[in-house]
Amino acid sequence: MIAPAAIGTEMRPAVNLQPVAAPGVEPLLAIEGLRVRIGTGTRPVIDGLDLEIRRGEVVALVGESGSGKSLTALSVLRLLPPSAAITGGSVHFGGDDVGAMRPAALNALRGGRIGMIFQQPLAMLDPTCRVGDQVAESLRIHRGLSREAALERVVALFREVGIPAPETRLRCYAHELSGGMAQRVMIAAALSADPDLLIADEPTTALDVTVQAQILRLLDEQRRKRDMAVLLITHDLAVVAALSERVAVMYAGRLVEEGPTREVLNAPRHPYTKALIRCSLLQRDETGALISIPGGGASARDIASGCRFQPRCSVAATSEHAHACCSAEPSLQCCSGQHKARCWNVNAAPAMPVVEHRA
Amino acid sequence: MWLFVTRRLAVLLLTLLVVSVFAFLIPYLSDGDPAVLVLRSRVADFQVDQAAVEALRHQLGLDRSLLAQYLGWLNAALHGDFGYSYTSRAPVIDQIGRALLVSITLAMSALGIAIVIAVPLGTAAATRPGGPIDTAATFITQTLVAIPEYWMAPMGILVFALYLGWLPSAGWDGMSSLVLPALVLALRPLAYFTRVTRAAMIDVLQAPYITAARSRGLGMTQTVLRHGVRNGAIPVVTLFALWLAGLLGGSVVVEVIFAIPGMGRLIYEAVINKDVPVLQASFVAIVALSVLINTLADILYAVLNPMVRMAHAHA
Repeated sequence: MIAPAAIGTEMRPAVNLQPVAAPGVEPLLAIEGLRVRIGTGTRPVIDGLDLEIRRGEVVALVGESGSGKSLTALSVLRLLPPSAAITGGSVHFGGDDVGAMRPAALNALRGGRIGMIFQQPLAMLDPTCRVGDQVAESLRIHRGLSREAALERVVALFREVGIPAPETRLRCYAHELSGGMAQRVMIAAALSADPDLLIADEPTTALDVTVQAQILRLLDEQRRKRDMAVLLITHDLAVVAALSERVAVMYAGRLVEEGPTREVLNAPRHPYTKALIRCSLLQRDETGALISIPGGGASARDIASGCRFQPRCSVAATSEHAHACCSAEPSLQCCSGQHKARCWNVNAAPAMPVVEHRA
Repeated sequence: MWLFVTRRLAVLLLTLLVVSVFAFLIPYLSDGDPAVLVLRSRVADFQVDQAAVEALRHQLGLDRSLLAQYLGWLNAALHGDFGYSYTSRAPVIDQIGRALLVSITLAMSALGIAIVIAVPLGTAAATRPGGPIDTAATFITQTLVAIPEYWMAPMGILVFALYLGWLPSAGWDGMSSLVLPALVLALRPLAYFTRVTRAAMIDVLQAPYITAARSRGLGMTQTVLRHGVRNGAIPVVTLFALWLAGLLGGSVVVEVIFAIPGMGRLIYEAVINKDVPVLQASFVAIVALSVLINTLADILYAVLNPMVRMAHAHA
């Protein structure tokens, strides 16, 4: 079961068991310096994002609403809404430059080599089209199957993702399904062409708690079976701890911390990550109130100068780098091995003992 | 679904019953004694003979109670007997039948032209709002809405019949005589259909399921055809039904200008001649058809939109 309690067990100081990528091995997905603008905003909402995913690796992208997680995912498939546009950086998938792809190659990439599932599964299904036909669409495009052959394959896929009575569910419309069932349909569609990467954009946020666990278990099971890489977008650290091998924390359009999941969750270096963990553990302060991060989630557009997290940071004001915090943005610096954080106090601040009272 | 259809048919019958009462009362709504009106229409002499009026009143059953008269009229009407036209002396039902066929042909041709142009045009405009197609479509539709039929029809005759000589200027004689009136009649619905299609498609194309379809590898054109048009068509179906019902008796201007023997002209002439039986029957026929068309549209709506079907099944 994946419940917040899972974090406690994951958090005991542990040896990093992550396989270290052999240097020189090409990553499956490489995002470099990605910049995305919305409308005519002066500052990009995603501002120089770097992220790599290796074959078969599960990477979690974490951050609060508005931090640019979903836009990052849509940028990979070049499916940004018309109001948003990629203004810089590059996305390479399997060595191919996604930005330079022609429409036919892009369509082969979408749903073929990269599958995607979304936050609101019911809204993601066409209300006037039977769900079987929508899943079959993918097989017809990427596998060139006839409608009949595709539907036959869909039955098998439905069975695989745990949809009961698949033959009858084929003929259902979206409004006849529950949220969990609709997400299983979306997963079946995303997996239908055996993609190398699955992008899961908050796949369980809209579902109720018991269904969340089932869907997460299904995702974990399928990605192991298929040796598929997963980009898991979420704000739920319990999900991160349970599923991902590596985690990247986003704040206001930039990565602020990145590293092996255990290391980041056990010994977070960035004050924002520390605060996120503290919030998700439902810790209480001296007055008994639940701990929260002061201030509102900042979008990359509102930042003046200095560190983007500085206005809400509990460390900045008192640290020896207080001046730097306000005047210049720190770079993503290495703190140990593959663990990086974007903070002036990265080496000054000791790792926060987040779980001592829970152990 | 069947419950839904049955219920709609019940509403249809109820509406017809109410309409029949109003139709029956038409002669009483106008000033003057119906018997006098009938006599006046038969003899040009304004000084009608009182004895003749009484005789006719009895002959027509006008001396019976209103309810008895209504039931008698309704019974006859149900058997397809709406009496004889005051002016042509021919059975009204035959006249209505012929005129309706003409009007339906004309209206369907006009709306067919309108929809065939409007749906692709509105969809194309919606895929790139503010783009060249959208700008052109907006300009054209605004112009079309503003031009009245009584200007468009003579201009059409002037250009295509008199100047170019491609089409007949008036009458009702085969395909060639249908083209010009149908085109003139198509212009305004064309404008409305285009705008509604555009608005509906802009909404639909922003829907999450469109992004999801694209994420499965569907190209833009395929996505619009497979997931856009059907969802976008739903409001257009409703509008189509309203226009069809409206044009059946409402294309008066075009029918009169082009001398087309349809419902519009029939009603126009019946009003001028105070031809009460024709008016009564036209009224009933047009309302009946309007309700029937709207019922069919609602059924089509349910076919297009499974969610509506579900709501009715549970209602």
